[in-house]
Amino acid sequence: MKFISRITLSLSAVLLVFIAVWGFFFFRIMVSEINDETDDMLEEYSQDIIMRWLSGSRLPSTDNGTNNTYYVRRVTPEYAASLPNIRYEDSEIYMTSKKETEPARIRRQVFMDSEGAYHELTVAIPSFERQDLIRSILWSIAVLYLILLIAVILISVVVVMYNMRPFRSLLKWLDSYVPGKKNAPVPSDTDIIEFRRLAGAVQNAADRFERQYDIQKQFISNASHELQTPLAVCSGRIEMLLDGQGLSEEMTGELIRLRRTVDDMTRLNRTLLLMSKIENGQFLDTETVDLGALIEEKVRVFGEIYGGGGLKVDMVRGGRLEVKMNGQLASMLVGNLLKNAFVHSEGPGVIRIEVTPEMFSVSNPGTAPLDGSRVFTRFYQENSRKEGSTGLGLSLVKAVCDDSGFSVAYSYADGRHVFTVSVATGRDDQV
Amino acid sequence: MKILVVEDETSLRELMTAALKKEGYVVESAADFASAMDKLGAYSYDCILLDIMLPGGSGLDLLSTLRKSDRKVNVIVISAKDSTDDKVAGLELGADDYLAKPFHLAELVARIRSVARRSMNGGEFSYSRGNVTLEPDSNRVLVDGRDVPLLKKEFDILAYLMQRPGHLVDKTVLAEAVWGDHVDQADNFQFVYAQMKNLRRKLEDAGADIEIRSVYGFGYKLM
Repeated sequence: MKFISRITLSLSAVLLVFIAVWGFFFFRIMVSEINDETDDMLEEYSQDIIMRWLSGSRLPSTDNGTNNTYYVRRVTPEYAASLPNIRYEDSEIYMTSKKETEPARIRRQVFMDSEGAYHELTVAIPSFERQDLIRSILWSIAVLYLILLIAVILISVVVVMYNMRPFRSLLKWLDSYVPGKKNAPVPSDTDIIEFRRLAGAVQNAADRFERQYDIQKQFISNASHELQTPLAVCSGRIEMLLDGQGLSEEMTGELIRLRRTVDDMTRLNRTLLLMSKIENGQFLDTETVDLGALIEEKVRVFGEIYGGGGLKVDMVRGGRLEVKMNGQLASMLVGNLLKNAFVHSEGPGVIRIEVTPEMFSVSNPGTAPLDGSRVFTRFYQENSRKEGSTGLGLSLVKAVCDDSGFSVAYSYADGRHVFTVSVATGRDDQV
Repeated sequence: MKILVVEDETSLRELMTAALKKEGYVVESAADFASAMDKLGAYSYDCILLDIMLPGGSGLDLLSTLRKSDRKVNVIVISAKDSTDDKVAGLELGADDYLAKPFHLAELVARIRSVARRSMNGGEFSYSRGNVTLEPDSNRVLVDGRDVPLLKKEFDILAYLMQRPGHLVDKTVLAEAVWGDHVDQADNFQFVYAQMKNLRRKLEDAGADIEIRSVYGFGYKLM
């Protein structure tokens, strides 16, 4: 879940309840205020009428445009004494002005005139006005509630997004980070202390990682260097023995096997050195290489060497594939991919090669898919450890592709291992 | 022929010295920059095997001093740094050949032989054994002066063996030398046998008195 969605959701959840409670109480207060106001109006109205009654002035007309209505009736002193002086009630009343019964707020007051007779004044205000008012208040509150909710969420989204810019640029930097390559410094263009500290911590970690990466790279290349002389001595001594006189067949055999093992070690060592050279970008000279022609040439050589088991090659050329890259690297790339296909094909089968102007792919029959995430890592060999195999061929392919800006992918389909090298995507990245 | 081995690694120096002595060369050795300079100042050699990284200085400096002194001597640069930069620097300074460690002793001997031949015949050289002559530059093989047409691979095999007469050549090493680096995982060497069969037949038909002998199925030896 994105940070901004989480903030929006939490804010909405809290505000939804909080503003609703607030709105409910606000509404209740408004309603009671309106009721008070109505009662005040009724009171004033009845005072006015009573005053007029007692002073004998003309009573106001009941049909004066308002919906207020009143009437006065005479009551017995017993009736007057049995009830409180002033009563409020909500009930239906017959409106003379409208000639129908309406719900209304009613005020009844008993008063005594100068002759000592008791009268009851009933004043009524139809409640539809009040209801209208309350309804419109309710609507306003609901609309305001929604607007407020949306506004608060929008404002917080904008504010959060704006203030999280340093964080986003840090994330972008992390995404673009490539170990061992030239990386821009961690962006720390902010005056927010926490973000500065975060950027500082990331920079430190990256620096530390770079140092370790360098040390590791150097270690591999130094170790391989240092191994070369002892390996030379080893194989030299075996050679001296082999050239000596009086060796039996058995001894010769053992010595030759020993030397082949030393040769395997030498090859492994050389490949490691080669890889560190590729990773250090030491193959600089580029030329235009026709990969299609290179593949055809290598296929001929490999066909001669590994084609014994009934392996056939089916090559489809859908156009010329020309790239600008180091010639040695091109040869390594094509050679290792093809060799992989030839060596790891099971039984008689067909190696399929497809060349288009953007990519080439090599596929060979296999029984089960390989672990796609590890197939290009060093020394990864699944159930196919071959004597003399370095386990570095495909990682060499990957290193060459990375260096030349190509991309290489592995997939397994219809019982075939497919390795695809795309040249076009890499070109776009390089620009 | 007198050879100076300049190499700081004792074991490797001993080994190179022993192998070259066995080939019939007069061999001396130096372990560091200073003693190599001393020896070069006092004696003259036909060929120098020069390690680049030496205690006390760089083999490349030694090479440039040597070239300035205007003495005709063959130099083969030997380096643990299998880098093109070193190779280019060495060859530009006038080295005759470059060999990266680790190498096979037979390879070293073959390089010395070819460098020596080249310098003696003014660039034109050939290998001869018995009545067979092989000219690497023109890709020709002559038996008793008559041309024997060979295919490319057959020629390469014969050339490799002619440079190492009398030595046991492992078939994997031979295959790698002729077919390239990628043969290391071949399950069988049928492709070597096939070429070898044709080569032997052609040599025999031409009346050559050399013989490529199989040694216990491990490799070949040119007799």
